[in-house]
Amino acid sequence: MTGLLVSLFLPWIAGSTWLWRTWRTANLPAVLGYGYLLGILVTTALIRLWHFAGLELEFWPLAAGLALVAALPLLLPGRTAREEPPRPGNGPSHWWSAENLVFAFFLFLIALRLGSILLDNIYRPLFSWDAWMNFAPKARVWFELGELTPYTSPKDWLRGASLEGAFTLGNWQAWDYPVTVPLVMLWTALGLDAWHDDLIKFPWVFVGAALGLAVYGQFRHFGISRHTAMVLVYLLLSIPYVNVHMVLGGYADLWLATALSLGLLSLMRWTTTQHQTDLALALLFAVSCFAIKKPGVIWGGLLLASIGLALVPRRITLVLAGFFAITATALWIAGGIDINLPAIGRLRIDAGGIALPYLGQQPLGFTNVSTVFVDSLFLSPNWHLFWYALVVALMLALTTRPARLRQPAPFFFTVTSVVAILFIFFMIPRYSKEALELTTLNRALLHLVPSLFVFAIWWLWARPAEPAPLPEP
Amino acid sequence: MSITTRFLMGFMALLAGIAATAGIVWKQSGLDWSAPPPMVWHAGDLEVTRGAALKGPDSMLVTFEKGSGRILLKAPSMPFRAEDAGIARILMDPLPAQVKGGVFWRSSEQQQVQSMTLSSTGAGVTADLARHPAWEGAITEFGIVFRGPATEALAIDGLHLERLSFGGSLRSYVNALTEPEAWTQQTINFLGFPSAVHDASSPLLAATVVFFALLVLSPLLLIHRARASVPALALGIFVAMWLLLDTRWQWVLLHNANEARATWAGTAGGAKDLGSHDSRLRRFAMDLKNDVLPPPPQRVFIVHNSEGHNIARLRFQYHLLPHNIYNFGRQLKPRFTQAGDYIILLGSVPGVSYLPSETRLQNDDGASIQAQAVQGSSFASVFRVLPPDGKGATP
Repeated sequence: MTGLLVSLFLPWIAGSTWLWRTWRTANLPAVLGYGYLLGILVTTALIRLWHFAGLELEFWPLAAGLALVAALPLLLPGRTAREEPPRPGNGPSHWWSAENLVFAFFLFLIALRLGSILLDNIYRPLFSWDAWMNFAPKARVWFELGELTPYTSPKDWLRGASLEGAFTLGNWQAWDYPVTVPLVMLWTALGLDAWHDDLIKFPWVFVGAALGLAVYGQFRHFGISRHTAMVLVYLLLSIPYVNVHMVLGGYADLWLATALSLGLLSLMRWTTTQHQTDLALALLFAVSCFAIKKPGVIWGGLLLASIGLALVPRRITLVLAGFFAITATALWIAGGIDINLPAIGRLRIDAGGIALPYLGQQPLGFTNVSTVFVDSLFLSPNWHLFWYALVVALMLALTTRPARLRQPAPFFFTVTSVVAILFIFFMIPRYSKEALELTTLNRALLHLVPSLFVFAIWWLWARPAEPAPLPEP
Repeated sequence: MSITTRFLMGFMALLAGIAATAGIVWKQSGLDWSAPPPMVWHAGDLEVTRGAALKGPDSMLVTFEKGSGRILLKAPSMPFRAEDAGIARILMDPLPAQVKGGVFWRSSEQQQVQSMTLSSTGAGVTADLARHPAWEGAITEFGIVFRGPATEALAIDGLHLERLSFGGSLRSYVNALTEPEAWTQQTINFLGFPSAVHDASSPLLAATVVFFALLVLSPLLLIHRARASVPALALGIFVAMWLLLDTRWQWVLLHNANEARATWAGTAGGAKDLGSHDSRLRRFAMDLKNDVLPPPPQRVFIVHNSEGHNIARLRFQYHLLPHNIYNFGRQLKPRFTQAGDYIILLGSVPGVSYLPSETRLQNDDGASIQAQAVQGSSFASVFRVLPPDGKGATP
């Protein structure tokens, strides 16, 4: 039990102590929300370093290493009064004021939701396909053998062509999926000192809570009142499909969605604060998408491009946009592009197909999957009223706050990611088929939902003051 | 505007939105508020095609057909339109515990026979046909089927197909909402919903209510003093409808958490399985790990009469971890196996046979591997690969 608690909370403490000392303008909820994901990523990195150093995978030595990482920021200078978030921003109010009651009511609903999900996780074993087919097997083998045994493709496993003693998986494509999720499972199993099909899913509840904390903290930074921010966080954390990925934990999608939205929030914050930590966090979480799930390359890549856009002066942006437009047109006229990038892979884009480094190649062909999209977004019970609200919020924002368009980076990310998801499901037959079968469509939408949510709120609601004074957490 | 006034205005607008939405749904459904009389078949009208019947004036006593263990009754006077009958009610006492019942039909839309399980409650033995996705078009064949022991006899008075009223349809919709869906292997990809009520999707209905409520409030925008209250009122109405949808979802989560507790409480975290078949796979895998296979990681080939993502072969692989497993194909891989490997034929694998006298496993194309059977059951057969000369077999 002690090991489980340490495995759950030590990464959280490690990430939060670093952010508390280095992210000096952030409020406590944001520090805690970002801190959990940062801590988990640091933990997985530490396990890999441990393995490369040839050390045996044992929980307590690893935990001691992580505790050292957590303690290091204590050597840094503490926050000064100047950097502390300003005190009461909402004026005096009685505890029974309408605002406080609304705050408490929705906080209770969030606690009830997370509690129900945690309760299910205590009893239910790993349930859904990919969890026990693609991710948990690696973690279980590593846990039982005490080392990060290599994995290879089924073809190479048969030939013995790659590493001696390498394992493979029962899913032909899953052997080279990023290992962050298996490492999260491994870390929890090490803490438990036994393989538990149920408890290793706990981090999926924690990452949901971390998403809520981070979004709440950032919304407060955007100038949104306490009770409204709490209502908004409740709306995000009560989306049924978000809950599904917390209650049936074991997939990478919720981690990717969280990393992406935290990166986007940091980018949006950086556009007003210009603080280096915000920029660093945006970059860190954009890059972390690569390590979480293969499609993270697309979303993380688009976020990186958006950060790049925010960094360069507007005139250069226009020159770059013109350059890309002309190059793309020229390539299209020439029939496409097909080059081998040294150490990266093949890049091919033409009317017949697309090949991207790391993601492989796919033929192109239009399939009309609009009915499935409408069905999934607006009629199914997966998202409550999220997509209706998003459409209305974006229309309202466009008409009432067009000045926001002067900060193009968040818009670039949102527009390109939406275009990318439409392209993938309408233009790549393999994914069109998966959309029609409803196997991957909602999961791909989940990657973007928290980001779209925070983007809409930022556009519609965030105070335009630059830099905004920090409200009370 | 005081907070009480705002609350009352929002509440009234919400009620107006609900009324307007209900009116539209009623108009769109084309249904009457009260139910028209049902289609009735008395016991004597039903044709008994399986089982033996003793027919009386108002009732018949039917026994199960020996061999198949079935009773099959068919209703004459077809066809009728599916929308004219939403609920099938069998006039009989509640089903005995060991008897299962269902209805079946064929329609102009679906040539394949469709079926639906009967539910037996205090309210009768019924099937909520309107909730079945294939209950559509002209119904050309309709019948009832029971399975049970030959010793049982069922007294049946007749069959009613009750036409849907708007109230009945609403009841069917509410029934669907109050039946929490259990998690399935598809839940991680999408949340399912009874198809027949899909046309009346809950998010769409909630969005329509919000739309009409906001329409009712829109004149406030013209009143200078009230204009500032509109955003908070709009958000309040939106959140109220979200809460309504979310109340059901919260209940589903709690229900499933409770089901999980009832199913797995008291079982160690490393010994939980996903059902009776998975439980057998796990027990067999544990036996192999404890008694047959050398300490891990041992190379193991699983051969199963399936391709792709078959749950049995993949769950079996999971239970065998941390052994080093190759789990593809319906045939042996003689070129890639080596002495000391283990081969497990999971279930019946028609493409592979074992010749005990020659200690040889053979594909149906003739390719073979020297191997010794080390464990056999109706569930799976386990072999240890021998050197090509066949030496090393143990008695």
